[in-house]
Amino acid sequence: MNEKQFLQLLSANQGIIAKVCNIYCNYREDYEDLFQEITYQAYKGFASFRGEAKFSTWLYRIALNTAFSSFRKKKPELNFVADLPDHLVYRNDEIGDEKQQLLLAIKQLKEADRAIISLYLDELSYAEIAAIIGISENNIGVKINRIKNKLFKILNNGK
Amino acid sequence: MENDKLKSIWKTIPAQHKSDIELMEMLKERNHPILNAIKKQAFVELFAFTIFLFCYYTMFDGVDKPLLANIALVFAIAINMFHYIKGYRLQQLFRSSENVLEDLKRFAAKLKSYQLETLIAKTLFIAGMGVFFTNGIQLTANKWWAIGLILIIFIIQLIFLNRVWVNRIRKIKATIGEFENA
Repeated sequence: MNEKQFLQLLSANQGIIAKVCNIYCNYREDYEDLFQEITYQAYKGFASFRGEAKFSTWLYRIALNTAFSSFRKKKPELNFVADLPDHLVYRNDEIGDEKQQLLLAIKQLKEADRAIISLYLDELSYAEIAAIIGISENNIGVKINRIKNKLFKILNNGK
Repeated sequence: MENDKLKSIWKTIPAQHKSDIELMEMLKERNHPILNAIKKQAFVELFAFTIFLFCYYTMFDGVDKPLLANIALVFAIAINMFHYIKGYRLQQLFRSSENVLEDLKRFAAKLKSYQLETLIAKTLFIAGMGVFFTNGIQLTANKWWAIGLILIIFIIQLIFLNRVWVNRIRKIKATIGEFENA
């Protein structure tokens, strides 16, 4: 395994890991732990990366898989409301209101829906999303429509 | 909000950039927070078991007990040591192969079998300890009460341990269900 090559690819695609951590973590500590777990898992699996798919697609799959299956410290459940106290939730100060609002809205979706919508928002094709998740393209299409409606509803405060 | 606007907002969410040095540090197992925590716990327990195995023969009268009682004790401890190592390997394992759904199903099945093995290993452990320490002693009413109390504490501990695994497997199965249901 070429560590240098892996690091180059990882560095260029680290935004994918950050996005997955953003939608599945509520705390800074959790975010850092998951980021590291994904990085470690990707490194361990890099030997199996044949280059048939894009590295970004492969990394997305590893990242989502790790987010769903990793042990994460049990934290109290959060109910997301419009204004969350800063000390409770990990907020990236560089993120503007609109971006923060979108992240909070995505976090209100089911875990599986968060994965699908993040892939969709990153403009992956239905075929790519279907290949990453493991369900049919038709099913992906149906789900995306439903999730988008739900997301718009949340963003428009339930209207 | 429009579809395209959502996409453009999503794409501009800034990621906290990690330097190559930070990323390189993350590749090392010793810097892995979860594996490190499991490793520390496993090390302490394995160390304690090893010390116990070296000392029990003279300190706990292993020399005076029948061979079968000694074998039961060593077997119970060995099973538990093996189980700790397996738990560490399970967490360390590279978990991705085909697609998220297949990998989650496979992982849930692995967790399910690990859950069962945990229950068996813990039960064998208490059984082995019981066989060894009760062998050759006169069991009075008080001692039976003490054994009963130890068993109750053990069963409660087992129930709590099992609940942790059940919840974890349930959570993964719920995610599988979310993906599979249209």
